[in-house]
Amino acid sequence: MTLQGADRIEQELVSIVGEANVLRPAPEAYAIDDRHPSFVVFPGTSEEVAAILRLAHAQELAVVPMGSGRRLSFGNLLERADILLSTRRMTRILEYEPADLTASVEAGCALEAFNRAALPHRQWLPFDPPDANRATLGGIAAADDFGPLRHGYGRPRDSVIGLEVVQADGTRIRAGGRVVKNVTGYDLNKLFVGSFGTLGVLVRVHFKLRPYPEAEATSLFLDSEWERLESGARQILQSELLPAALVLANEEAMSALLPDYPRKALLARFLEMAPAVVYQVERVKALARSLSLEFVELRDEASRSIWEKLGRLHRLLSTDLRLRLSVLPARTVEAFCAGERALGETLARLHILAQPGTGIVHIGGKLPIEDEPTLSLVVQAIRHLRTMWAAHRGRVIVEHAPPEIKRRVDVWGEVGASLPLMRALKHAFDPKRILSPGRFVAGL
Amino acid sequence: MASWIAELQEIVGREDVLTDPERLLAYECDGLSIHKHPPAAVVFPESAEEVVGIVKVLWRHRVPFLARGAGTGLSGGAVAVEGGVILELARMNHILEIDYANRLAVVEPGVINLMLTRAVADAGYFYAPDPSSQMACTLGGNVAENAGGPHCLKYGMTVHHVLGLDVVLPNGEVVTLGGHGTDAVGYDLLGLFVGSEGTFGIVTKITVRLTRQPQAVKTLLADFLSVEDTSRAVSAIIAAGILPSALEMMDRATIEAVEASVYAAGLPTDAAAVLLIELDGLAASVEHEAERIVELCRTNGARQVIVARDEAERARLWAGRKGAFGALGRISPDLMVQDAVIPRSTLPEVLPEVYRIAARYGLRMANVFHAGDGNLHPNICFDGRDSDEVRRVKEACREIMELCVRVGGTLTGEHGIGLDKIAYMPLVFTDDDLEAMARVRAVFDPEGLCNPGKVLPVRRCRAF
Ligand SMILES: Cc1cc2nc3c(=O)[nH]c(=O)nc-3n(C[C@H](O)[C@H](O)[C@H](O)COP(=O)(O)OP(=O)(O)OC[C@H]3O[C@@H](n4cnc5c(N)ncnc54)[C@H](O)[C@@H]3O)c2cc1C
Repeated sequence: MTLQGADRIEQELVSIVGEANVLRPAPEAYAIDDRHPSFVVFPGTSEEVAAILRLAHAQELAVVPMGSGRRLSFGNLLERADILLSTRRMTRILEYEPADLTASVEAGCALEAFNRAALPHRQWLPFDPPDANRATLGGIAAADDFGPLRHGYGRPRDSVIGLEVVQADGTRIRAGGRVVKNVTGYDLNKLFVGSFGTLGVLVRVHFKLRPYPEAEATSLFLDSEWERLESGARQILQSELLPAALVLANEEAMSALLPDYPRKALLARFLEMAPAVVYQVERVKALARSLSLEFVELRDEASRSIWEKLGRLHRLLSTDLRLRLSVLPARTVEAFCAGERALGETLARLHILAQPGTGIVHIGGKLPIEDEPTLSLVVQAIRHLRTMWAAHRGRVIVEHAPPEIKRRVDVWGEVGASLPLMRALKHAFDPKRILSPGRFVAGL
Repeated sequence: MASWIAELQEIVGREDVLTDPERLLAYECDGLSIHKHPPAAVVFPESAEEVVGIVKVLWRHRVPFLARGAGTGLSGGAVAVEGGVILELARMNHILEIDYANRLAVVEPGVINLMLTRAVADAGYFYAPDPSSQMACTLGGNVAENAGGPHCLKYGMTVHHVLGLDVVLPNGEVVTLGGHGTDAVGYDLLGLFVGSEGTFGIVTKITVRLTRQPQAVKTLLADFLSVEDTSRAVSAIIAAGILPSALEMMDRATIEAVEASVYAAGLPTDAAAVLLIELDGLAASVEHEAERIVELCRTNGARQVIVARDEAERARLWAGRKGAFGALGRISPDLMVQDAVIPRSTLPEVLPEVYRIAARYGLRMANVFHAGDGNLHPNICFDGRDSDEVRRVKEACREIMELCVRVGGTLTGEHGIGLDKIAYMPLVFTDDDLEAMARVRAVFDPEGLCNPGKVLPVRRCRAF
């Protein structure tokens, strides 16, 4: 972009969103990996988003949509980033009819703000992605961003019932609708949810809500070995119990979460009617006894706060590398241990959180130094884990890493035989590759 | 004889390629008899390899084709509207793997829905999506339609229970969508495929999630003297933050048909409507929720609420509900069923209006539906030989759709657009929305050979 060109584009952006809502150049806080966008814009309406995209499309400028910026570094390095499009000003709850258990929000609406508004009606969106306190609902949908509650409530993908999307050329489309059950036409919600801003800009999201549980408690099993904890997890999974979340945590994670208990742990969160919570806690207490495991019970606020902390763990431990493994659930502990072996010597503060019910394993840690030998050890470890788990349908995604690592590995790993379909979809929705180019699988 | 027929015979054997016009008549429609069109041929593959072979031949000759499961679809989805070939998948009916440790099962597409639940019941599991047709419909057909069922209120639709698919694309290439038990990376092609009504390719293998049987189940039957009260009770239950596993409504016309059939369940024939409500989960919460529901029904005018005493009584009530469509089918030559969905809070205002529309057109209508989801099923009894009645059926259907869309609803909750509802698509979607869908379809099927004439309105005119 020439200087005059940039001036002209700035003028046009200002004419769309007003002077106060364009930043040039992007301040340091808006860097994505090591890339600095030329502009940050803060549209206030979906019409403004559409106008920005029309401009970008005509000028072939790369647009990167963002919510709170929490997950901006999730993805491969961007090829280009001219305009960072923030939904920060689009925070309204557009429709909320408690009797329908559904709601529509603007993409920048914060998860916390929404749940605060829904609480008086005893309803909520049961999402707990990392840094949930900052998350926007558009960002959660775009990244299909989940946390431990996935075990009991599914992924955000399963709660999105409709979307309004601004396409690359600025035309607006709607997917799904406002009702909880809908097979009218192709389900384009599925295409956009989890597409990380590479197919369109989500401007509105419709969700189905859940009743807010009457009571909550968390049971903690502690031990020095995995064996009995794993067996505890298995017995819970094969019982009548209905935990909303079930997580195995290593010592490093536990010492940050509950400094009094720096041991290996199994955490089970129960969200139910009060008598059902009491029943379940009693059941797992008996289970802990039968396995001779140390047992701790956290109620209400204490329970809530440990899960909130767990969502900020990577921050508490200043993580700069975070991997997500997805394996068959029965292999969760195996994946956990493999991750520990592969990275335990290289990373400091190696913390691992695993969901034995869904097979999701998060491994995080700090690079002691960013020198060549360390980087190549990390890269080797990622490759090693990928090869090892490919044989069991497992996947290893790099959720967060310094640019130097992203230059050496595709953060998503292999896609497989469906890559040509994905390429064709990207081409069908963003032929000029202006939406977060390079970020997605295989650098789409 | 077309040369491709000989090629198909080479793949599956001469006797497994039907071309005799008389026998093809059995394939001229699905569960919705209003749309009829015989295929040019029907083939019976027995393996994924045969499906690939067949599709490659048809692709090469540019012959349109489509898969068919049990033919119980209710939108004309399995009708070969442009002629072409039906691949009937009933013989691919093997359960390939059951893996309790990972709570999944791998099946061929021709496996009947209920057979899977039966196969895992003794181990304490079930397959959650339970269309009322589950004794007949196939899992392949369920995937194609994103089928629902009474218990989808709590457990979600087919898409929430499918973990992986092997698909033969319209050009004969094979792809795997989803991770078959793990998360795949990239766009959610699995979610996109489920509900694509057989227009993106042919499913040859499905991995589904198995669900643990709940500790406790309680089934209630509440009867009411007016449809308005019944609707209000439904809205009150949802608004109270209770999520029953099923919340079904049956009106008087339905009750009468059921009670006069082999599915007779002892329903009160003098009620205006009944609600069949099921709660499941932990005994401790089910008890508590049941009390609240009884109370909510009573305050909204229920004459009586009974709790099924035992498994036999429960089974009888459900047989009545699941047999309702069949029972209605017996009382008139043809049956049209619509599938619109409305926001649940609008039920008390919309349902009476639906009855008024039917009355205005002089049609006999019975409603039996997934009330908790707001998923209506107005069933219209008619005689397809009476062209004036057919016209009235169509006009009434359009008015019902328009009404549902006006209150924020949509055309179909589980049966699909198929052939039947194409004309209404512009009621909910703009040209740009439809164009985006068409782009997706072209990615999977650039030549438009796979189940053509379904889902999306085509620009070029065509006489139906
Ligand atoms: C009495 C009755 C009750 C019903 N109740 C319900 C209900 O509660 N909920 C509900 O959702 N539906 C219900 N239905 C509708 C119907 O049963 C479902 O749509 C079911 O999923 C269809 O399955 P099928 O095997 O009969 O498919 P078919 O009718 O044979 O085919 C349906 C569509 O699926 C496609 N298809 C089939 N197999 C494949 C495959 N392997 N790969 C790709 N495409 C394929 C076909 O091309 C067609 O487009 C009911 C139907 C009846 C008759």
